[in-house]
Amino acid sequence: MELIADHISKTIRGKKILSDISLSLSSGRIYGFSGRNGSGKTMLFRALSGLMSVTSGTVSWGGKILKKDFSVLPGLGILLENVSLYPELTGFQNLSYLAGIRKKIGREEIRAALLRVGLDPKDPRLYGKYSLGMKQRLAIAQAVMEQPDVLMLDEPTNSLDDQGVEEIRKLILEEKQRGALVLLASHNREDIRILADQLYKIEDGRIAEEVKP
Amino acid sequence: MTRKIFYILLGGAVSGVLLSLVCVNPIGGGISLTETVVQFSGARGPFPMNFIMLELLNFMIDLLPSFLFEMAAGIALYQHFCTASIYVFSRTPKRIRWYAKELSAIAGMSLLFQAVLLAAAFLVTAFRYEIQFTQKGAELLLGHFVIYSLWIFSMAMLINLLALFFGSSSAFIAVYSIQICLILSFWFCHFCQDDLALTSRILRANPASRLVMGWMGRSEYGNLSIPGSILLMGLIALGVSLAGGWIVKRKELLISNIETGGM
Repeated sequence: MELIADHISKTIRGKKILSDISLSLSSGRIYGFSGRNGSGKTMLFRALSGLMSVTSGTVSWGGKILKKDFSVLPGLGILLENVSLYPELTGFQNLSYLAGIRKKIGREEIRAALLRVGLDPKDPRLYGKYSLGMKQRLAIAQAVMEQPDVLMLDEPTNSLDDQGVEEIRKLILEEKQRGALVLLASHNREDIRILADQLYKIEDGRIAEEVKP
Repeated sequence: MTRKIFYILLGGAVSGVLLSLVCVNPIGGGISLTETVVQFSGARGPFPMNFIMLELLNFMIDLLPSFLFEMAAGIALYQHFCTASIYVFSRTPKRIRWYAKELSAIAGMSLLFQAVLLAAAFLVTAFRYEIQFTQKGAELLLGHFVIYSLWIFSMAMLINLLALFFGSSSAFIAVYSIQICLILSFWFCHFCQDDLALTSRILRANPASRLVMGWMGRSEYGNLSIPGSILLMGLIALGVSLAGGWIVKRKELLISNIETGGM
């Protein structure tokens, strides 16, 4: 399946956040997106996922057009920077709440997702008491637990120690091998070098350069 | 959810106990059901609340349980937008269905809180005095339950919706200010009490007048009716709910954490 962005732009309060971006992304590959803070990487993910509408252009998935045939990418798993979960719930409860929306998975899959990112499914601590690294791991777990067709990861290795970084890189490669389309935004050059099949450099909301790392 | 329900039960029970101890003071050892209910909303003894400032301020103290509930439920929907809304809405294109579920939870909490509050208030009152059942009292009690449930639900939802645009602090200040202004505006009726028609128009135009159960059916207080008051409160609740659905459906998730402006 292909995720195609056709000349998409987004303007907010007169400021162009995304400018004439065109992409053609295929399942079973990892696409890296790099750029300084504020370059538009996160906004691009929001636009491609359907969480934010675009001012012009279209996004399509498998031939179907976003906002016309569906409002949010089906089978989407997403991790965005600075998005937290519910502080009054445990890790398991957080994932249970989210899993209860689509009802595609049960307790066993949630447990497996938590173990996969190195968290204890039986941990009684509330999310609000988690360390930054644990929060990041839980966010990754919620992104992958339902075996998404499209996986968007914004700075997935933030706040992780060296071992954590290795574990998450391995997880991302597993997702690619499973056939998911993986979009990876990262400041970490090693992440991009090791993982990405293709790299896009984003500057001021546009694709400045397309590189095979 | 279990913890939330526990706090609602606790808050309702404590509020009900305090409401009875503070507000219910009959003359003599017994009290009618009618008098009990009206004393929960501003009446002093057998006399309904008047338009003088002292009584209006006392009435606002009687409304503290409502304010506390609004404080607790006022971020019930908004908190999702501060935290995991991206992860919720990335999983469901049908935001309205999700919103309806959250709306029902808030409505359920409103009913539960009001039921527990009144139950606790009546238990304490019955323990202290002999309550004489009256048909009118039963109607007032049911009216009190429905009207107050709809009001606290509407105000809590209004806080949630305003918070989506202006943040929680501004939303709380705005909604509490609106309620205080609505109640204090009764003071103007003090100056036109002799003009029943004008007083009636002022009271009918102000939705907060429906919270004063002692005014129901009294010509000098606008001849408000329980069915009419329930209808008005129901329309307000419906309006806020529909507005919320429209906002939730259209709101772009640009700001991940509205409180800190983080993206």
